[in-house]
Amino acid sequence: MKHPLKIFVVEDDLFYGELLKRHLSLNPDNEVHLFKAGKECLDKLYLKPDVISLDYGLPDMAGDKVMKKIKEDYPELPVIIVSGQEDIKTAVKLLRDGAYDYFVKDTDTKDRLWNTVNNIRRHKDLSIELDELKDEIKQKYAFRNIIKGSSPALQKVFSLMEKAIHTSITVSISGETGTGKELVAKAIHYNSSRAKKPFIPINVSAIPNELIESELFGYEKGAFTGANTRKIGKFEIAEGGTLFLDEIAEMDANMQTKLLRVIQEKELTRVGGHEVIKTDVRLIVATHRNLAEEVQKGNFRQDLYYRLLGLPITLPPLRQRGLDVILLAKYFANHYCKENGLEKKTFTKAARDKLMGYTYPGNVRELAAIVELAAVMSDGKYIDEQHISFNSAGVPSDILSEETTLADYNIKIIRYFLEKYNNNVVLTAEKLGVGKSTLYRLLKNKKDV
Amino acid sequence: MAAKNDRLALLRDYLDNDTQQIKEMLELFLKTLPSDLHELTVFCEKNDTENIRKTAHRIKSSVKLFGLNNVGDILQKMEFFNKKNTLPQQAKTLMKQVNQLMNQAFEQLREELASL
Repeated sequence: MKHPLKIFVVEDDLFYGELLKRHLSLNPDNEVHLFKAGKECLDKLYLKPDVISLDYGLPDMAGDKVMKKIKEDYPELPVIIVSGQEDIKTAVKLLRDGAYDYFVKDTDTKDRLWNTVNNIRRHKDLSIELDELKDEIKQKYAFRNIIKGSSPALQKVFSLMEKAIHTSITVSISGETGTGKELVAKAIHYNSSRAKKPFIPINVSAIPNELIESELFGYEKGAFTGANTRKIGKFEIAEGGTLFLDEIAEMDANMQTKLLRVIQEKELTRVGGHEVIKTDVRLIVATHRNLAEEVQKGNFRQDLYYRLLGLPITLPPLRQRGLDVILLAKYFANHYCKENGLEKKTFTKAARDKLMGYTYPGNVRELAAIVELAAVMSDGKYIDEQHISFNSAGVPSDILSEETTLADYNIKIIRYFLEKYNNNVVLTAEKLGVGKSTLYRLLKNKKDV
Repeated sequence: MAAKNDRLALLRDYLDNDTQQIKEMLELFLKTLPSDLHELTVFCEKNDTENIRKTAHRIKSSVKLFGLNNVGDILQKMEFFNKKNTLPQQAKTLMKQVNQLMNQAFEQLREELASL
């Protein structure tokens, strides 16, 4: 897509300037303004030109002075110097000082100017396209678009994410597999002030220990056998942006020490190199393990743990998100139907009850797969219970995960159902087959429920 | 005739052979350059090297666009004038040559303009 290009031509020879203006205006996408002196051009910079063609020998100010003033306020604005005579020394100095190009007024001027302006146009088009794509990504990763749900557990997560986007604090995300840790990391990045810089995800568990250092910090040519060229590491690629280290608990002790040093010093050295490279990267780490427990077990460095803890966000498992299950199921069903050209399908009450009764050890990822299959299996407008199939038993595994007393099991079960039904006591009592008063009596004994 | 056509070759090239635009630009040249040359003549008479230098530099490129490289070369010489190395008579002599050559060129260009 082409965008209009605003060009300033600064030329004290009225005839030559007018000729350049008319020549560049042959492209209807160019908007050309002609100025006879340096000051005239400087006074109109608020019009925000995309490129300036500047005569070096102006009557009021030398070209280098005009360029210097332009660059003070608009350092990225391309300035092409068009000079009446060839002077290599001046040309080199001007190019060093930031001129986009330098050429002499001769028979080639027309073509060189035309080509240079076209290159700038292509660059501008690409920059605009890139910004538009980044905005699209930002929209895509808006909290409410990316993470569906209205349960109290999820509202807590949203509130922490809001805090994370306004700072560069390290964020540590924990949660069971399939709860959406990477999505949360992306949402934080694309809603933060670093959104226009890269988001680089890396799964620590997927990279062999001996390769992780070069992957993160890069390496110099000849650092090891096979290092035929210099390679930039993920830290450098993510400069100014966010580095997402997934499954951080799987990092080996040696690498933990190196990572700690980089975080503390905010600088790194490529493998096999000596150059110290400053780094400005926001870290978001994630793990499905309990990192504090890993520290206690001696598997994870305590000092690194505290460096990485930053703002901890714990993603609730789906079984604790109550009616979010239905909300998500509807979202996935609509999505799959649309994607596969199927008519919109609605869940029957029996199907909804069946979905609510399951514990989803694979969390949202598992629900998505279940709904996709159900949408395919259903022939009509409705998804019924027979279309829904689970691969594991629907027992809330965490309730039975540790041995405790019957009274505590009761409390755990009540807690689970209350969470599931958004603290609706009447519904919880009905589902558990007890009266409201029985539920209140049991709750009374445990104030923290 | 070939020589006459060559005078406008670059102009045609710059303006994508658009006759109306060529005509307008030729008119602009015939309007502005005589007064520029007049200014330059006065500066030469006064041996005002600073203004000779500036004016010669300014109009040199336009003149060359019409294939008037001989005039362009003289203007380039004048561009490097300074008080130490320039004799008053030298400037006047060169200016006389410029005016002679340009008067011939103006005549040719006016004919070109009439035929457009």
